Amino acid sequence: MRPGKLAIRRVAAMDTDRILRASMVTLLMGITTPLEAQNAARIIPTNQAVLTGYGTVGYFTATEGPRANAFTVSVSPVFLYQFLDRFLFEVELEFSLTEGVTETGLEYGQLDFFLNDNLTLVGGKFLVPFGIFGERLHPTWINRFATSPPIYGHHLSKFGADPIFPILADVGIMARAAMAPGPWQLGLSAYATQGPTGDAGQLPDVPELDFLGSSQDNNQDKMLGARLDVALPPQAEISGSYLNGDWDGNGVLDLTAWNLAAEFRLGGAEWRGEFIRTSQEYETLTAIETLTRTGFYGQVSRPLGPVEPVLRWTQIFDNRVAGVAQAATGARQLGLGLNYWFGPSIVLMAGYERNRENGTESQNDRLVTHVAFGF
Amino acid sequence: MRTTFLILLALTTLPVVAQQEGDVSHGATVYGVTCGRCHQARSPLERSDNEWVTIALHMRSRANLTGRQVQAVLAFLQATNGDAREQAPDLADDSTTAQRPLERTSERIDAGRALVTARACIGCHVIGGVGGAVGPALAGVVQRRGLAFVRQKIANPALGNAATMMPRFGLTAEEIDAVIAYLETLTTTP
Repeated sequence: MRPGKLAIRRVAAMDTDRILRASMVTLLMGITTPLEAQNAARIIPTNQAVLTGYGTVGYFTATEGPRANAFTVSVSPVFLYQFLDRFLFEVELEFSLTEGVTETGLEYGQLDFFLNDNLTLVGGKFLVPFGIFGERLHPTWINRFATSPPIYGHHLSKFGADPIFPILADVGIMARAAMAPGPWQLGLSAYATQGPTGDAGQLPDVPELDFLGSSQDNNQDKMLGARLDVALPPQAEISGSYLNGDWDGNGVLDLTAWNLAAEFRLGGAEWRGEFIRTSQEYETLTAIETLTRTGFYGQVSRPLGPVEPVLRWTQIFDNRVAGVAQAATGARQLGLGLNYWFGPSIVLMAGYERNRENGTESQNDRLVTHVAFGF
Repeated sequence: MRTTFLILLALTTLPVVAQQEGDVSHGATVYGVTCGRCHQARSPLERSDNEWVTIALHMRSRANLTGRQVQAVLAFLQATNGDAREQAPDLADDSTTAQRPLERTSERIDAGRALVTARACIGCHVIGGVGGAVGPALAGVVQRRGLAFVRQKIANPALGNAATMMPRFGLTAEEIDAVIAYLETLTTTP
């Protein structure tokens, strides 16, 4: 461990303390916002519980390579409990079947405190606002394609190359600000969470990272991140996201990630895409190296009444270590989809994936169909 | 990162900027446009007035909406929710009713204008050069699609497109005719 690096970490830890103090001041100032401003956010004072969520029933089959095929089912109930117009507790559970065993998970469980007209404070386990897909688009009735983009690790998305980043839910605190000056819509979300974990002793392999989203942390440093959204509805929205955190037990090795996302409405079609770049430090016997992974997806969909064709392209570039590309570590996917909407939240999706991995002849093409129901 | 929190600090101390009040038209626009950026907007009839309050708070957090925008969306949802399901005339399969002649009187046109305003059609449709882009512009729509179709479509918006977000407004046959009489007067110039 290099002394200089440790010194930097100590400074970072001091920064974290300052951030927490600033958060408390933010909270205090928000509470003392003039009453008329607070009242502006008042809606209907009531407290009640609402059940919502979504479920999916489907089937997939490989058309090339291993002849895997299976029926699939999952259900994700969302429980909302509102207290006055100040507090909302949100819980999403996920039930799915794997090898005959019912798996359950806490997708998120968060308390929202609506501080004033523009600011919301969040605590608990929440979907991390890194990019747009993970936080807003991944539910199967919202996602326009039958699988998630392969740059994200979720819902049948792995097709050879490892996903670049997970659909991430983590435990921590978050502040979400919103403003609507004129026709613009601005959003800023900043958070501190437990962050990634990993075993630094996996030499010579690059350690795989886990985002456990649990109430424990393997080091003293928190992952810090933010996303800035700028929208000009209905034509366009762009956003930039950044996060940084230490993943090893000593709090020395960094993970840094960037995301750029854009969405446009042109010619009656929805065009959207996201670009992700991650840099993961890891220790070898002689030095600290950096693994860089980069990828993107672009998607266009065009509703024609209840029918909606979808085209998606995903590229994961070869990994780079110290700037040198690692052969045969990237992949690409062409997705062709056709959706039929029975209602605003009930859709039959069929998606064909043409999957290719760099430097190999492997083909993992597959056809995925499902009915998704947002309720 | 400290800068980020200082920005948040500044946000909390800002006075609430005077924005459009929680009016139905503004709410319809926010609902159709902002909600529609991520998913198909759900029919207002899917939930009760109170349930929409909780769900709107859920979406306020998820979509970075302001409190004022949520108020406007609720105004729209609660105005178009009501008991429309029971009141809506079933013209979808009644070709005789759909084909009957339309009386065009100034009183009826005025009544139609008032209904179009009250139901916030402008939130999703362009009227007089302004309005939302979720649905088609309303100038010339009766001439383009025909009287019978427009009658049936207003009575049952899911006609031909089950995924539509347009709610059943629960208008009577007389009110639907008033709306159509007004729509016929619209021109494509503001």
